Amino acid sequence: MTPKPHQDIAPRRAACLAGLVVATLGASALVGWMFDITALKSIFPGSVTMKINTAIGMLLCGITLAFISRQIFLSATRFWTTIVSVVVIVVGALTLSEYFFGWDFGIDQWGFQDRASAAADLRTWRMSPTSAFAFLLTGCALLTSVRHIAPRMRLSILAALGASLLVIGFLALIGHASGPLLQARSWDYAGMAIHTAVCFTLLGLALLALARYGSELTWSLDKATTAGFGIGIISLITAAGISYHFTDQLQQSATKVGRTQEVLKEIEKVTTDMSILGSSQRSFINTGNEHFLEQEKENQNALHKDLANLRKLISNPLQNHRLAQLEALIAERISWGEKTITARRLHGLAAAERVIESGTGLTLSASVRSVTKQMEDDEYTLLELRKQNEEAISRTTFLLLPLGVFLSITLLSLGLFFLNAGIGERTKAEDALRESNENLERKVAHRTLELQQAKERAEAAARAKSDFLASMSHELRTPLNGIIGFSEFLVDGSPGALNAQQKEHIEDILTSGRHLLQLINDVLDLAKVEAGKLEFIPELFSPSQAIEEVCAVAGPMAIKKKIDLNISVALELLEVNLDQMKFKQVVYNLLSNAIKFTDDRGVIKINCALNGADQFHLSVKDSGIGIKPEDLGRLFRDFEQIESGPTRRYGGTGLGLALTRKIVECQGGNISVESEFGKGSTFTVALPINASNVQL
Amino acid sequence: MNPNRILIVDDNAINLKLTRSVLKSAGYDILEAADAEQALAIILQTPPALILLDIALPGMDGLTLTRQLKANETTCHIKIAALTAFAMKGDDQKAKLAGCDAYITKPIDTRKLPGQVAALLCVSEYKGIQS
Repeated sequence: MTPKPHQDIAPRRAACLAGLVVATLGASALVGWMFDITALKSIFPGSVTMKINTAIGMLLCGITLAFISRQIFLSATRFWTTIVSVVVIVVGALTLSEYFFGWDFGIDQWGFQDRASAAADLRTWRMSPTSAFAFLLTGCALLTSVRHIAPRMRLSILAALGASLLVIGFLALIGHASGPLLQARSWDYAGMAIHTAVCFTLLGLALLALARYGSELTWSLDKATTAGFGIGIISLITAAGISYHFTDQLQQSATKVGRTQEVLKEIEKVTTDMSILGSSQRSFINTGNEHFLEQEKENQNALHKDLANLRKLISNPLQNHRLAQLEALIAERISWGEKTITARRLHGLAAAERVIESGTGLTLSASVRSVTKQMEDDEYTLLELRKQNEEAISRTTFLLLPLGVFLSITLLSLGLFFLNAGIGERTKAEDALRESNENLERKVAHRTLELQQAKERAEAAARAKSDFLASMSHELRTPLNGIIGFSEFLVDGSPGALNAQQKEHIEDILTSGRHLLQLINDVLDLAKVEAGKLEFIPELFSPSQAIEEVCAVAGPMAIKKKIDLNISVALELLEVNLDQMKFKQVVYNLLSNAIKFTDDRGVIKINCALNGADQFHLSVKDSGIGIKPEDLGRLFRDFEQIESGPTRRYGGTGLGLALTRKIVECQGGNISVESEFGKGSTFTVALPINASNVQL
Repeated sequence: MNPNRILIVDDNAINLKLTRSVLKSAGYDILEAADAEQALAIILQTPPALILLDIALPGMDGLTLTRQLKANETTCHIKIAALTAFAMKGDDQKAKLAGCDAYITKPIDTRKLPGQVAALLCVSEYKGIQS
């Protein structure tokens, strides 16, 4: 156990402080014994003293604790601690065995007072069994903290011993506090002094603090389990308190019963002595023999003694009153007896007979008997009551004690059960967690590697695609240059005029060449959109003008098919802030599609209007072939042409709508289509008026 | 130096023929080369006012040739227009960086090319022209 710099040193300081306080208390008690200072021996006059052995033990243990609290274990520290531990354990064990077996090893007196007076009352000298037991625990704890024991084991032992000491000291303190606090009889907890209790409490706390420091002991139980333990311990203490209380009452009651029985015995003696009193007096009167008078004197003395005894025993006021009556009556009876004796001596038998015949003596004796009878009756009633009370107490004790103990044990067991279950579950859960974490880590590492590889592959593929597109574009444009260029050259008649048919065919070549070029451009654009490379440069322009420009380009196609092209742009839509080229591309794609799929003499309507404050709509409506509902879904996909295969009547790359959709969406807009098969379609594009306000 | 003399460098004979036909009918004097080495020889012998230069050439490529010509005192004044099928984004920037005065993509617009050439021959600063 080496000190760890990052640990909180507060527990260590607390332990050191506790050790010093304990040592000081021990030393002061020792001084108290040396110079006979009661305040140091027992704190409060008349309460239990800290015994000499206890004081020495506290001094040693306190110093040792202060040493240990540094948590630096030099061999000297280990040696000293071991010696102190062994001494304390031996003293504790010997004291306990003295109590159990009634031996006397002479370890309790130490010669501060003379041994003769010491031997008179062992209770004055011998530490209480509780203290002896506590010292046994303290010694074990100190020994544990410096021996080489597995840390987990040491933690458990230290915590358990510390907690035990804490409970012992604390209970003793409660016992002491109960006197002044509850106005009850102070419960000195098997004779442990108040400062001894304080010392053991501090020792327990210090050991717990050291355990906490050494192994970071923490209270990690959940609230319910803690509450369970708490209630269990409280009910255990309550049960102990109740049983103590009732046992105490039982003891007091037994004492009272005993006294009542003594009172009864005394009353009976009074009755007996009274009867003897009469008989020896009568014998003297009959015989005149003075010897009987001596007997009479003795009887009188016996009676006085009986009365004195009764006075000592009786405490209740009614009986006291009766006792006074009784004393008065007996005194009167005795003085009456004296009178008859005097009459016998002075005037002879006849005179004495006369006094006797007056009946006063008999009346007095009868009164005495009646009073004693009353007293006896009262005592018997009292006895009966006390017996009933005793029975009630016994019943309560026998009912409450097992119940309390049972309750405590149940709660503690439940607490332990849940604790164990909790630990078990936690261990299981921790294992599961650890396993799943490891799995997860493996999976993550694996997945990361996979992702890395996939990313590299994807990047390589993207590079290859980009390279392929660049070279394809180049390679296709090179022959197209010849095809388109020469066609244009010929159509324009630069090398010489062509006849009409020749010109038409060359124009067909030119159209096909341009179509192929458009296809290449679309493919490149689409590839750029997918690679996120398509750039949008917003500028302010008039949508109506842009639409007109597009119509000027696409118009000839419409004119050729005699299609009625109808353009309407809302007046309030003066300017938009978008990429003009892309906007024109969208319009061109939609318009050329509409022209393509509309039969001769059809109608195409282009409508452009505001849609809310931020958006505008562009719709291109045709009267063409329309789209089947089941085909609407794949309309905006790459390379999809609704009519494919040999039946295909209309040209086109199949990329136009996919590209249009991507251009629109990249600017924060959307495209939708409504169509009725055979009647025509309407493509509607919603675009923001100001593209720079849109987060892309 | 004949201000009407134009050198066309292209390894594709048909494309070379197309450019030549278009510009000849517009009234220009045309010189031809199929690669950079051949072009260099002609330039040194009979310097043209403008070179229409293909970029992808066998051997030395068009951009390297441009750099050489623009680095040389005697040839740096000759206008060079890249005439190329490299029409991807960034290709025009590469051409400009190498020293080209114009960038014309293939397929050429035969109707616009004579105008573009004329513009290049009288305007000195760079002008990007897209067909």
